[in-house]
Amino acid sequence: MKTLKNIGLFCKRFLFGVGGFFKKLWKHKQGRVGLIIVAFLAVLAIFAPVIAPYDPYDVTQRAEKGLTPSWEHLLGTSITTGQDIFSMLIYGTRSSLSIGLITGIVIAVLGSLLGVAAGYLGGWVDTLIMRVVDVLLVIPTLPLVIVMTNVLGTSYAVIVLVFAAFGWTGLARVIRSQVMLIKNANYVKAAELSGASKWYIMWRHILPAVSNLLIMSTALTSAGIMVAEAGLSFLGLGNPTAISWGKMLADAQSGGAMLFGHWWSILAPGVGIFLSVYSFMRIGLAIEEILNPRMRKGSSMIKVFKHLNNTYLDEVFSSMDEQSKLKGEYAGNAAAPDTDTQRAEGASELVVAETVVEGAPAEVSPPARKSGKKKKDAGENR
Amino acid sequence: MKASYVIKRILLTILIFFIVVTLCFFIPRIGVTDPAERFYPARSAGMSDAEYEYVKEQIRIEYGLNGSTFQQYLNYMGDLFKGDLGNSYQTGKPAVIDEIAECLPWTLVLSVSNLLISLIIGILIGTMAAWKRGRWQDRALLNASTITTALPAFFIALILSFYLGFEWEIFPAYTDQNMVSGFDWSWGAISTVLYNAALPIFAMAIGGIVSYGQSTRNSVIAVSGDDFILTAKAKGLSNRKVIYGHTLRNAMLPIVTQFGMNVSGLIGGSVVIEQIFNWNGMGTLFLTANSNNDYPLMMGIMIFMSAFALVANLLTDFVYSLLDPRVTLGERR
Amino acid sequence: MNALEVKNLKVIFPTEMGVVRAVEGIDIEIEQGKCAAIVGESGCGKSVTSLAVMKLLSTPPAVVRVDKLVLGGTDIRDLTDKQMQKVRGKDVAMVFQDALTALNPVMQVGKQIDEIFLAHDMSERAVGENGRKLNRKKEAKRRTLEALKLVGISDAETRYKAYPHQLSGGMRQRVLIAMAFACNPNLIIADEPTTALDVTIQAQVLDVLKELQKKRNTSLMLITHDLSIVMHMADEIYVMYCGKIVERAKTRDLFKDPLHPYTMGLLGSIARIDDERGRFVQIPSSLPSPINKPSGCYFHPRCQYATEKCKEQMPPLETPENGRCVRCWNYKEIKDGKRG
Repeated sequence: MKTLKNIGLFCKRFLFGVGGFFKKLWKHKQGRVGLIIVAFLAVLAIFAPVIAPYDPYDVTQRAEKGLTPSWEHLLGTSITTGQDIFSMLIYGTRSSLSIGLITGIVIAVLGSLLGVAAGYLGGWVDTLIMRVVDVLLVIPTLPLVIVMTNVLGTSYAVIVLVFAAFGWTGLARVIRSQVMLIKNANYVKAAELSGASKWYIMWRHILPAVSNLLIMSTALTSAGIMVAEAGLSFLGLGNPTAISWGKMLADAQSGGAMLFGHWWSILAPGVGIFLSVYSFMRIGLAIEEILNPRMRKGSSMIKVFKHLNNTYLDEVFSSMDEQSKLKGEYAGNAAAPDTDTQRAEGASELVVAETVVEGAPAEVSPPARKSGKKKKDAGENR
Repeated sequence: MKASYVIKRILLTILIFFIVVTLCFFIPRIGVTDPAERFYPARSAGMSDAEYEYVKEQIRIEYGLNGSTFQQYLNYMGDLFKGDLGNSYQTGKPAVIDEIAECLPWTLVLSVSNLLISLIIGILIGTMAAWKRGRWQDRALLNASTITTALPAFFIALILSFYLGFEWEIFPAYTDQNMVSGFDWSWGAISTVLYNAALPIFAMAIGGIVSYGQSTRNSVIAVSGDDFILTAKAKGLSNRKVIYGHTLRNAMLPIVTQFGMNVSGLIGGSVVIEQIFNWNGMGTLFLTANSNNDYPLMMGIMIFMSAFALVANLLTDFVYSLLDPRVTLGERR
Repeated sequence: MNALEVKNLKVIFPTEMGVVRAVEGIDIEIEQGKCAAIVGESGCGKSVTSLAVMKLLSTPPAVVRVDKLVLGGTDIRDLTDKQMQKVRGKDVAMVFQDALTALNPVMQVGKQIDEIFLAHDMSERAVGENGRKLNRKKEAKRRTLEALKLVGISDAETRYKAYPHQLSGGMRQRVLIAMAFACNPNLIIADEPTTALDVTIQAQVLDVLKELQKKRNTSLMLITHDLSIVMHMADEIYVMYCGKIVERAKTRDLFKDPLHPYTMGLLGSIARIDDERGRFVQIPSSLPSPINKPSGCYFHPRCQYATEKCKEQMPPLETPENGRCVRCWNYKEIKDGKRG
């Protein structure tokens, strides 16, 4: 009963965390681009039968093979089967998104469980898991996946399982090293000393601490899996009954789209792959930037410097002079009016950034060792 | 570098190799009761059970599939110890190891040149981007890296083959098969190979260049913010000395790791590209073996790739521990 | 002759969030062979000052203006980076705070000291016709070993080949000091040289620093937040607050009779053996943001003596007696009040 309650609590916290995350993601410019594209693709996938003008699965709705684009067939028809390419493109979102997302989530669960177990429990569990990781990292992935699909068949479930079975290693390693850091943090030691069980600590302290990392890597692995799935079905080793972008590319190539100059039949599925992978990557990278705000900067510094001109600098410098202070003109008044508002906005941004990093209430006071930090920035921004 | 570390690391590598071979042996046998079944000839009329069983046994012996699965495993391991990866099902005669030896150089032509091009150009571009941090060069690299990582190499390959190969006919879109059979180390033959390899190498290298560029850029920027760079400048060293002696020296450490990882995936990394350009390498060999259900050949290729990866990892660790005195062998994670 | 003369040094960092006014026009003069300390809390602009003197601040992001920057008689204000390379390490050297990060982790420490000899003293000296490079390197190594011995590193041959992570904290700091004294510069800037060390090691390292400074008649600019170090090392003290000098005095005077309330606060937080106070005197709250500094005197929000005038106007740097400066409207009243 108690564990049930714990799980409930964890789910609630998790959902709230995810909600907050999307909010932050939406504020991040690049993250928003990713979210919008993903939402767009999701709509295409869910409402494919409504949006697509033809049903590519329906044999009776096939037209002549290899038609060039027209109003009837926006992107022409497939050279090998005569299916409407535009409809196939829309239906293709289904397999790409579903395999990418589901595998990404399975990998996140698998990788985090094994990573936390290895990092926190240590001992023989750690050794065992890390040896398995070593083995899986050595075997070439694509050939192994090909053999597995050869043996087990090419249904969706098998493809997801096989990708998940070999894709968790990287995440597990990252989580493991992160957990080993947290394990040595004093608050975890304090919990241990006050008699908290290992499960409790894993549940309450360690999992929440790696959850951000987890969301980020889920987005990035999903992107990777989409590329891998496209590759697999391009080789003709994916689910033969489903419509997928990789298979469309393979059909175009084998049907001689190159020879006939049907560039659209190559470009269309490629754009589909690109958009889905790109959007997931954008989200992943945006989360990474939200997690480490130090990674951005730089480019914005240049922007700041573009706005500076000598008169403004002169004003700032002369405002520091003794005479102007004697007159009571405080330095702050010398700032140009537009920069004043910029400054106010910037200050609130700083607060947001700090809460993300520290997880502690933000203070307007500068962080300790400000001068050292500045020195570092100075080195970086050259 | 202590000797005990080295020995421990090598022993671990051997253990992993053993496990990999075991996996490669058993995975294709999942759910298969008699792997030799598909080679049995139809039972001719009037053949007694004993006679037919004898015929089957002969075939099992021929393919090394006689005895219990465990017995086969022991035999396979014994042969492997002698450097024999068994015989291919499809062609029967040529040993697996010979087929690999035939295809390996062609894959290496692609992947080694891809790796070297990516590394060299990537480091140059990355250093420049770090130098011009925040300016257009840097932002161009950042955008290129998000775009190329989202574009699968095989799609780039298709586009290149479409335009450069078919539309404009600058490079061959399909490999000339005479290139392989008639290769004789003459300049003409070598230049034919390079001409044919241009598109596949280019298709692979675009992503590689950008990825090395991006990691070099990040690494250089991270290092140039380090305190010891300030110390070096405070000593009055020339810019050249600061960059080559201190910044790049330290910034190259993560690049070595990345390079090692790429080297370990050198043979298995070009499967799809080889398929597109009809290139007779390990990838094509593997795909052919797969479509023929030629398990000994598939096993052999996977074991070979794994062994290569293991040796590459070992060497990377050695090199890394030489470059970074803080790391003792086997501790890098 | 002064080893260092800085007039009206200003450093700002324009950022997205506004302009950070790190240093707001400070003057520093250090006599040859003397030690001046710059004291202040973290973030008051001490380190930026030291880097600005070395002209090591990268621009951008920093913007530096200075009226006068004279180092041992040579004006370095308008020197280019290329010309500065000849000055750095030779005429002015620096000891950084954390020796572990200040030394290149993948280079033998001896080699790192060699570099400085190769860059300066021996860049022009011709050593024989053939094998010149080899001889230069040998000579550099000989001098490095000497320098290592000078800072009290026994077994210099083995230490020469060690990597930074293989040395103890005190040892690393000695290496940095050896590096700073290598070319016998006029001025050494030590930026929190002992903050990363244990107290016992701190004393040893400071002794080495002081001994060498006296022996070589080098000037020292000591940057620290720790007044207890300053007491034994410095001849003169500059107290910095929010990028401004708030008080400047000879060490004895400052400890005996601090004028600025901030200095009093700093002194109040030193523990002494003969202490009879029950509690330490604290300076309430923390340093204001360098982007939005308070109006008037920057210290007034934390000052118990603050008046209306303090909130409105920045006080000037007054010179109440020879060789002393203080930036406070009410220092006389505070002084009288204390006595009375």
